[in-house]
Amino acid sequence: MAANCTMATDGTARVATTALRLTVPDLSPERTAALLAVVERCTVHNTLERPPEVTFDVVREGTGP
Amino acid sequence: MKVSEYMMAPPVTVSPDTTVRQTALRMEDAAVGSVLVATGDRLQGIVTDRDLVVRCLAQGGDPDTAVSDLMSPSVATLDATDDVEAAYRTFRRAGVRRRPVLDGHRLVGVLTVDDLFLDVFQRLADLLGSVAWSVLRDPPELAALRRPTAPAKG
Repeated sequence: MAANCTMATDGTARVATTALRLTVPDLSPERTAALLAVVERCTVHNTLERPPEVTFDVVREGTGP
Repeated sequence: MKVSEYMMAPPVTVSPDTTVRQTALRMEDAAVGSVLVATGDRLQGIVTDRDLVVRCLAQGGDPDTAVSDLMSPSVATLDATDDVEAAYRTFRRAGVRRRPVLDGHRLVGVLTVDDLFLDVFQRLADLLGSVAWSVLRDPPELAALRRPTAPAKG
């Protein structure tokens, strides 16, 4: 699986697009559909599609949980 | 994977006698926030856009000052043959966002946190690839059943 990213051009430092390409042997349409179905429902894909809420917290050394 | 496979090469450089003004223009042209100061392929230092502001403009400095007067001359570097995992550790410990890359004594590139961030996407893709290959290993009749309405775990 290869990831090809492009950076945003709107002045913010961020990844704008990620294209994922899976190179596979010759597959029937049924197996291709099954493969896509699994990939598109897995945790990795779901998280890329809908990024997690991110929070930041700053604690002094030795005082955090 | 080696640092040389992730770094930007060639790096954006200026010579030590380049003025602050020319350095700022070089940064604008190359769309970067820092440039390496080098004589030929020998690294002399690094200067960031912040250095230009804080060490020159904020002090009422002359934009025709040579960049060597305000660069950071001591620069920790990575070796082109270093493993990328070593680069992760270096960034984590050092609290810097970029490191020049040397091949022996020769300046050959620069590695930034952004380069490693793109590597993170590749690692996510590698995990996704594992999920996909697991389907391909299934017998066809089972693969056909792998079109569930429930989320796939993995």
